[in-house]
Amino acid sequence: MSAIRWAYAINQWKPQFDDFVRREEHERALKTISIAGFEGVELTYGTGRWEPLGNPQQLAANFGSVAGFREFLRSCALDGVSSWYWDPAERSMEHLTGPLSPLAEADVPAIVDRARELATALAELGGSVLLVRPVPGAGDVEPLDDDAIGRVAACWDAVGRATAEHGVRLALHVDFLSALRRDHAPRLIDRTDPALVGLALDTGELTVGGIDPLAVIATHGDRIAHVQFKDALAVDDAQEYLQPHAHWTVRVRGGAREVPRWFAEPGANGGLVDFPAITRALLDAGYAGWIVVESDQSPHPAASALLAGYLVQQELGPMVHEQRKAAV
Amino acid sequence: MTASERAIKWSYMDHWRSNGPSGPVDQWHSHKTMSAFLKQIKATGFDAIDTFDFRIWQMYGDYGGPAKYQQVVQDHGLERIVNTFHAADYDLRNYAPHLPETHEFILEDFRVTMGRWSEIQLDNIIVMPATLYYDMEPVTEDKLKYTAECWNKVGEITAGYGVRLTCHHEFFSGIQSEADIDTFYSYTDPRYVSLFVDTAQHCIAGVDPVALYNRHAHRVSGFHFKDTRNVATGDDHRHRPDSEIMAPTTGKWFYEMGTPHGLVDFEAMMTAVRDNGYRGWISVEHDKANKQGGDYSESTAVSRWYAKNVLEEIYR
Amino acid sequence: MKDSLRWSYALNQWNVRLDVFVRHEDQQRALKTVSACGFDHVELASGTGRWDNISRPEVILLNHGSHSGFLDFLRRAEVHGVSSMFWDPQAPAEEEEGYAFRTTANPDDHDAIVEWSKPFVDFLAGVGAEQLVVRPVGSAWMTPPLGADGIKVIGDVWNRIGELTSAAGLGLALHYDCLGAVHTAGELTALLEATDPATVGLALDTAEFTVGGIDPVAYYREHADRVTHVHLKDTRYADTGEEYRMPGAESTMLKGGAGRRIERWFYELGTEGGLVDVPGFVAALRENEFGGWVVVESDHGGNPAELAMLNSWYLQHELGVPKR
Repeated sequence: MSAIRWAYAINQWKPQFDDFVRREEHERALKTISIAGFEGVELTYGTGRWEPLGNPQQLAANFGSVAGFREFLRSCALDGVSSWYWDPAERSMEHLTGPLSPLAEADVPAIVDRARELATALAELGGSVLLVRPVPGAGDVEPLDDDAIGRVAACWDAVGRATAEHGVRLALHVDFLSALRRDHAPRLIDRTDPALVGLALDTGELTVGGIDPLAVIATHGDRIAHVQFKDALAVDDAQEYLQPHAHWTVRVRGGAREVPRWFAEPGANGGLVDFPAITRALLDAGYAGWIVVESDQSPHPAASALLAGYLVQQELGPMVHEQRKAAV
Repeated sequence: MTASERAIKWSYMDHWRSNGPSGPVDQWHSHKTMSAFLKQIKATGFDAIDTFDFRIWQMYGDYGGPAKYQQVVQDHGLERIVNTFHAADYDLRNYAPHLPETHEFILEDFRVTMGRWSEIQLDNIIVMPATLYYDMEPVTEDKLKYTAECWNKVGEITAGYGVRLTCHHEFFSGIQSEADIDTFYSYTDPRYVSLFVDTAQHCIAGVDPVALYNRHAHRVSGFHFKDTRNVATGDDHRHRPDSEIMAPTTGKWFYEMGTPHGLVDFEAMMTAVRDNGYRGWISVEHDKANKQGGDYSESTAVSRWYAKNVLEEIYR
Repeated sequence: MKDSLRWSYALNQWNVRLDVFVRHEDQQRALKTVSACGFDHVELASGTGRWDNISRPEVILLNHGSHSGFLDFLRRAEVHGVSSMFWDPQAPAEEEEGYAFRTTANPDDHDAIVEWSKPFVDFLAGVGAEQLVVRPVGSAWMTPPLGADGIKVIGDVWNRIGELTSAAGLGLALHYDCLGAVHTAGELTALLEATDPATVGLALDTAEFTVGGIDPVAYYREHADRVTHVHLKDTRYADTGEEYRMPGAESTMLKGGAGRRIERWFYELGTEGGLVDVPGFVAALRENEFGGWVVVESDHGGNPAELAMLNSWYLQHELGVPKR
């Protein structure tokens, strides 16, 4: 029996560092997510006082405690947080630390500690998955040899062990700029402990990266611990992800073709992802867990959430429901 | 009248957003958005720009450094980069001017920063001279003295690069009341520490910017001309974790000059600028102009309109 | 702008929906923006109802009391006058017999259209404007093709209105647009020939011409004596030749992307990939000592203040027009 739950990602509401700081803006966004039919929200890690929803310290500073934030979510008619996305390369003003790297053995204890902190808060918020960026972008590191893959695998095994203590699954989120984008992802996944480390399937990132999400479900369906549904509007078929600073030059700016937008909410005009087919494949693979819908960025965040909600309510949700009925 | 004959020239402080295909972007988003920004600034008659220290990474990454970026600014008909704002991450653990044990960290920060800027000539490096108010309170004479000592030393470093260290008193910073500002300047060395008058910030803090300027005119090395419609009340200046965006009373503190219901008396301010014989740059700022439906382009046009049609009639 | 050409700026780009650009402070901000960009005259565009209070003559007067009251309103923002006003008698308006639908192509409608023009003539004369700029005919998709006789019928009504504008000391300029039933260069020339050169001129819109498939520079050079008004804007696209005939072309082509996902047709001067030879066109105006208004606009399609500022930059830095 399938137990798929739908959540929506908050990231699209914060296009710039000084946006989406005030409580009433959070309230409006969370109520929008709720009324669009989602039961949870996925948070994105952030740091500093203009990231009130970015980490447990800021939640406590703003809501009195992590539990206080859960009360706030409930007051917006959301059940809780589904998941939290964290890239260890993001600095922490709260901990006075700079970028941490899973490739550096010396950083591993700090990464484990930080993940444990996030997992502790997640458990309190009703969440079950910590998503991480498993390695830096392809253009920003040396090619990953076997030894590097081994170090990374050991790091995430250790992290997975720590988060599991709080009932939180670790999911490796491979984005289209990742050094794992091509054949590395299977190699890393195969080196990690299936009991501790799963894969986050992000339909938009895979499609932009030229990888068919259906193929990933076919080969690694049993390792999928988290799913993100976003649409892709273009494919990086010129391998621009290999460039240094591709996060800025390719992802944000659109690369040589100046792609105005790589991502959008599922079902957007011109979207390349076949969401019904992927939903069907996930159901067939027996996936149980969160599907977090997102648009990444959007010129109209509320409209994106409502359009995605329509798709889930009218088409994708009923597919899940039918399967559940058939199974009973 | 050419710019060189004018006593006052107008610079535009870096805050900017425009609508991109995925939501708002700043001018550093791409070379195209930068060019559109510079064209708009120039079209309305600004002479130059100010910027932030943290932009230096994009100057190096996208333009090859501050000198090459300044060339791009000049290619759009603007004179140069006049001032930079050093937006520091104040933290009681390692970066707090009222805590002497953190001073060496701050001094090192400025040695590195000034080196990065050394390929162009700036007028001022602007700082908020204190931590957030709630991290400094109670504001004691000793804390003001330690803070002054810190900036005296920093000012000596920046003076070595021909750049003035100048202080900008945010309403939510530790040094924002009239008495504390006066005490602070009494302890700082006029050779090394200047005052940068932000008309809106002082007004929000309940300090008359014109009177403050008149009292310290000999120490003033520049201005942010912007307006506000609200004076801070209650704990607005010490709201945790943030006052600037998160104060419960006020969703938007700053407005462009020329806004209806503005609290700053710009005509009195400009008269004081004239009467004190100030010559040089006035920076126009619209911090967070796009909040609550505002628009940077329009705020820029309206403020430059006000400078031309009202303020330049008083003094130019 | 300090120039031998007279530059004005169109306010239509601010009035993008029926419920915006209604409050006087919003209008003041737009006028100050135009002024800060170096323009001291504006072109108005007609509309209907109490929310079109800077568009519909009767409503403007209700808001400002008198012609001079309205001019005072403009002058508060250092805008010194109205160059011109655009009017489309085919667009239904509450003030015109309660949204009556009439067209210049129907001779039975002519008396009414002449009557409808009178508030505009009176208003423009009252505020010291120079040109009534009009949409000469409705959209091509709404009407069967016009023959020579049809074009003559249209010319007749504009000749009658031209007499009114002339008597009031105004010019009347027929504004070609890319959707109009007068579509080809030949049809446009026939319309000009059907009108009296003494009272009726052409408003040449560089972007509309380009989208419609007429080269604005070449057409201007051939018909400079008839061009009395200019709209200067750019476009990145031209009609494939048939798109203007799409049913509901105002929406399906200009707002609906014409089936090829065109998000926006009209652009500011200097836009990347712009099809209009703006320097060539302005040079031709100068060679012919064009004495009318050159109205810069970007139509609907972006942030109005940003577009005004980019247009101003282009005038100052690409066309070498000093601001003041």
